[in-house]
Amino acid sequence: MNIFKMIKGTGDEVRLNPNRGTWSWLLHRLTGLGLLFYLLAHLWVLGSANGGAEVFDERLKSVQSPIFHVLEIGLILIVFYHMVNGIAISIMDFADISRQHKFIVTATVAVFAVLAIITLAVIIPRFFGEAHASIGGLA
Amino acid sequence: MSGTIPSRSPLFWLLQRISGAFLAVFLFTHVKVLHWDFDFSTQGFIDFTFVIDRLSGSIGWAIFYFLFIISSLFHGLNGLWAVILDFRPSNGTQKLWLAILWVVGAAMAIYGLKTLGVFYKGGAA
Repeated sequence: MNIFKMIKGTGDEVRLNPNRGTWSWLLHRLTGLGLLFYLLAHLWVLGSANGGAEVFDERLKSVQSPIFHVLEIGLILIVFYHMVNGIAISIMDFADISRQHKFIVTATVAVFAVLAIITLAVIIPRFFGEAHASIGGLA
Repeated sequence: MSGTIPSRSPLFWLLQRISGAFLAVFLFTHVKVLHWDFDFSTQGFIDFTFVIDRLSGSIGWAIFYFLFIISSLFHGLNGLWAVILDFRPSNGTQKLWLAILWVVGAAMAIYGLKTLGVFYKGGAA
């Protein structure tokens, strides 16, 4: 399990099969690994509650600065991409329609785009103070 | 680099789909409550009081997060296991990784559920 061979092998996979399906496979992997890393960090941060409310508040505040709110948008988009693509993979597996993969990838990106636009429309105005959209109309 | 690529047993393939279906529901709810509905420009930051108000004494949220913690850890680590197997590790390396994944999963599950207990009780013991 040589890390350089692993990176090269993954790169070859994309180079030799340069199509939508391969890109979605790669993106699913990368977002999945990123989310696993985030999950472990998330559980560690929330675990500060075991030390009491003050410790929890101090740590939670440190991960809700403006820069973290920007990163948070990226996190939500990664979650939605992995979620929509994962549902598409399950449907493809159970309905035995892997021959339609190209169309399914396009449909996945379309559904993801809708969720991404809602997320951006809800969160970005919050960076600019008063004139923010109401979630009531969107969710 | 010859021979068949090792793969997960069909049970773990199925469990990945089942845990994934659970996660779609849990994560959508989680994102909606904490990122769409919670407005940091007017509500400040998510603090202990905010979490306690929602979770303390709530059987519904306790069950929600119990299943959320278990299914997310399983899904993430089982997904990593599938990625590892794609690189055809030797039997010894596979055993080592399996041990690491189970230990990390069990430890983080216990830690996460302990934290959930704090929120459910409304404060650290």
